[in-house]
Amino acid sequence: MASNVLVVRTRTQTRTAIRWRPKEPQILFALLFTVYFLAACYLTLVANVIYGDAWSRVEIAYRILSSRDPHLAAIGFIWGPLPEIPLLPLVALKALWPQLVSSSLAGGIVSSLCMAGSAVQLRGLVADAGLARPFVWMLTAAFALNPVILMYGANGMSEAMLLLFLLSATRSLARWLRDDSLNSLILTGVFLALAYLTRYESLGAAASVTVAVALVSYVRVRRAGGQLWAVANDVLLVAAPWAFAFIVWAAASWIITGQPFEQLTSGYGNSAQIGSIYVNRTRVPTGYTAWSWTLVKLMLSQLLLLAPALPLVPLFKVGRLSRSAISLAVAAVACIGGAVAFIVAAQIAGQLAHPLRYLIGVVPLAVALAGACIAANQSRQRQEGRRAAAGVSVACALTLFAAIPTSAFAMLDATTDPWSFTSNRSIVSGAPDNALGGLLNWSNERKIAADLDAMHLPKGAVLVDDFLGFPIVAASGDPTQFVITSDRDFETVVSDPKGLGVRYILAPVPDVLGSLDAINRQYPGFYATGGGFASLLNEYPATGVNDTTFRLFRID
Amino acid sequence: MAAYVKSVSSDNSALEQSVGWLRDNAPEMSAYRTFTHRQRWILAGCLAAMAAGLVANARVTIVVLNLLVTALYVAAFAYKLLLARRALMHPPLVTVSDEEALSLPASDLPPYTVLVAAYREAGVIARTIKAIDALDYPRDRIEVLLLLEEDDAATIAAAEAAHSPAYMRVIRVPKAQPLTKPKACNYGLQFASGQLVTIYDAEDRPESLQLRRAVAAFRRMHWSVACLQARLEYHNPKQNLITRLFTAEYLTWFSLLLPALADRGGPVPLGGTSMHVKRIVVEAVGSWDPYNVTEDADLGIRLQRMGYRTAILDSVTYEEANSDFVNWVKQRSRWYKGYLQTWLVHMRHPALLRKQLGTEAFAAFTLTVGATPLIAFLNPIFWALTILWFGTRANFIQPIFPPSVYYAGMFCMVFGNFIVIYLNAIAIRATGRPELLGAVLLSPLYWIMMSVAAVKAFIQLMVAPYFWEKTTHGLEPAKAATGTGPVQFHSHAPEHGHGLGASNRSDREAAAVGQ
Repeated sequence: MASNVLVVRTRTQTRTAIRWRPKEPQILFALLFTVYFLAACYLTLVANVIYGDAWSRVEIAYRILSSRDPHLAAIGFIWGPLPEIPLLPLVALKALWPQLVSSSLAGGIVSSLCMAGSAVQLRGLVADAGLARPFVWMLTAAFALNPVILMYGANGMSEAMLLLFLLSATRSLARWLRDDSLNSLILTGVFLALAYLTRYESLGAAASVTVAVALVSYVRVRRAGGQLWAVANDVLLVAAPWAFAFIVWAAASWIITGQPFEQLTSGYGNSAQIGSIYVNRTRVPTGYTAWSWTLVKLMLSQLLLLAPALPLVPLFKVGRLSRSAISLAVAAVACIGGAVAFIVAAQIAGQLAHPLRYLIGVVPLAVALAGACIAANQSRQRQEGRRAAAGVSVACALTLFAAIPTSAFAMLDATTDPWSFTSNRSIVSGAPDNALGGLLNWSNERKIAADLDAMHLPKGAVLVDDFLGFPIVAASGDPTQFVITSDRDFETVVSDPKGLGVRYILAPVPDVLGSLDAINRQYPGFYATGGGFASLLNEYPATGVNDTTFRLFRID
Repeated sequence: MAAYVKSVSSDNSALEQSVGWLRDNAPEMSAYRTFTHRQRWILAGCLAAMAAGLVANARVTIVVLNLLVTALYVAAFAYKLLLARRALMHPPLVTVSDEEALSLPASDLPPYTVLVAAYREAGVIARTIKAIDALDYPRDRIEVLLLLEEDDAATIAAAEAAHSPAYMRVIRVPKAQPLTKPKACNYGLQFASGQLVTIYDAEDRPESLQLRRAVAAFRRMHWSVACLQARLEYHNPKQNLITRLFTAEYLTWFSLLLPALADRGGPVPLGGTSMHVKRIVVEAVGSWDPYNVTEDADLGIRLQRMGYRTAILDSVTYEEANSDFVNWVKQRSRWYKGYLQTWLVHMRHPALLRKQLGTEAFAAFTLTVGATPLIAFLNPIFWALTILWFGTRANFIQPIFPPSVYYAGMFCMVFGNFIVIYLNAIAIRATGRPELLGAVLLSPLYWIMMSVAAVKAFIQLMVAPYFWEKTTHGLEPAKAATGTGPVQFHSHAPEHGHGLGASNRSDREAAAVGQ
């Protein structure tokens, strides 16, 4: 064996030059990254469509580095920390390309990288199962060209990173199921931990994968007559990383903010925001109550529009299920299916809002299951009925492409995607200020930022809660002029702004979201009256769908 | 047959050679002086700088110190992860199948010398002789030298009474300082006539084909591979919690980390027994350093500096795990002290060391040999800080230790120790010993023991660097030796032990070795 011959590596020895040839995954990655990145540039720079959550994350990275009080804990504990980490080096380059922050392009770059990576992992997932190359390409294309995937690869939201880690975990899990390799089990655990730190919903995936590993390991150990300790060992190896991530993150949150689960308890967290959507800054109940049939119908329609092939895929299986086919199917259902199931359950129970993007996982899930069927058919091909089996496989792959028009429809439909359909429609229609209520162009926040910048204020002169004020901070050229929520002395300053050097206060209109604002909570009625110590300088009314009306007050 | 006892008390030159060769001819490689003058100055300078910094600006100094320690922790643990991953992906053990080992004709086998160093092992020596006798090697090509100290009358008497075979003979090592095992080995080496040499301890039970496997492996490999280290395992893992923890630790080290280290060209601290070396090579590099209490680690580094390589042989020698707390601390403190000695000796000329080892091995040397005792020493400080922080949230702490110190320190400690548990869990799964899982989860207790040993080691390094803490053997409940020796087993794929067959194996072997 080559590994047994230890060649002395002297440092004077020249190594044989190996010509580097790009392999298929690398080409795919480069290609898709380019596509998604160009789409990101178009979205943010041309169509001026910037998703609020994505820009908020860019602002978080920005405030860690460049705010008045830069510190790592400014990352915040409400959402997962991982999406902000790769933003940090990009945000640091703001001086070279201001749009990275002021148009949230940094987010677009990260999501492009992650989505391209997801596609590569999906390709690897189906290729590992032994699919023939044409099918690998077809399935990868069915995923990568899906409009939902394209959109979330471009818009900087954290779905891309979540898919990357979930698909990586699925791929390692499939390997473990197939080959029983310890290395793959460990990688699965690590990816699940990373998925948890990206989005908390992946707890569902983590739980279901752990259960799957326990069951499969138990069957294997029993069949071979080994000890049950081996099962416990396997479970530990896959679950310890994410359990560790869970505990450490909760502990860090508790140490720094006093609350272990900010997602649930914070005034800004999920629990405070569910149950309604915002139409023209008005919180409108969606009309879906928990456990209602209408809600279930909505879920089903979202699912079927995103992945119409999903219920049909099992029909296309003609062959015997091979080991690799079963591994692929079980891994996909356990990992991605687990995450989706968690979300669906939480939504039906009324604990989670229901934007279309939460169900993005069904897109790769359908592709993976189709891959399993094709893998099964391939085993058939070696026996008899080659042509027929191949034809069935082709049909299976083609049905996946039906998702493209249906997903596009879903993204543009008011019922299926109430949170984002206006922005999606505005991209399609192309007009910047159309009759649908305008783009997410954040124009009034940008104006506020421009006005404040023009005043050349000293450090800490403007008090604003960046829960809603993040576009102002991100669009501004001088972020140190703001006192924002992540500053460690924020609460002190809010209780005595005049004494601590603040000259101006920005307060958002106290609608359902705006009433969560720190200033509006500290001084009820401040928006109307100025709290008795500040006088209204200017009002910036919202123009776009998700803009916030702000009032600028000067302290007397 | 009577043992042939060679009396060499008059042969002073052999003794002088064994004690002083390295010290006199290559003092830079000898631990005779723990610190060189330059190192003393550097150490004093660092301490002075630290003191001055604390006086001038305590906060900043503490932050800087904390950063340095954090960096060390992160580097050491990240490197361990890297090694483990490499071990899993490219199993780097040198495997010789039973068939290959047995197929070597006797006429083709080189003469072998086995050195057995024993001190105050009167109760155990008979078992030792039986265990060595179980080695499968032609009797006319093997010589076993029992190295017994001249004044150890009890052991000598027991050895003579044991009626050892003709190819085994007792060498009485004249009494001389330092009273260490490497001095005895150096002495014994001068009477060795084999082409290959290996060392076993009194409680060792090597797998019977080990010598043959070593011969086959040497033949197969490049000439620069001068040393093959066999895997060490414990035959008494289930005796108590300490032995379980110790076994898990050894599994991680010998099945994952050490093979990967050898494979990556990193410096291989040898294991003290079952290292099979080419005699001319070990003599050429100055043999063992009698002043170093982990002479094996030192030899491994020195071999590599001289351009030779070590590989890990997939053959097991069973040892007895220390089951007694005090005994364990003694042994571990000797290891830590020796690691510190080794690190200090070889870091005398860092630039030269880097050139000889290569950059990665140079870094690996510090991260494995130097960092291990240091981190064990620092762990209790971090524990104390954490408890203090949680327990008191005292205000006086805040100005002295800024929050970043706590958080970095806490993270290090928690993350690093989690990695160690996880690595142990990987190792026991990969070698098919998942029953040790319970002990692995109790690793924090083990670290407390390690920290105790580390403190002792640091103190002894200053006060008594050559003092060899004798490990008491035979603490395992004695059962009549069955005399069949360890059962042969197939080398398994280290990546994922067929957890099932392997666990059966250990039960069978445990029965065979008289557990």
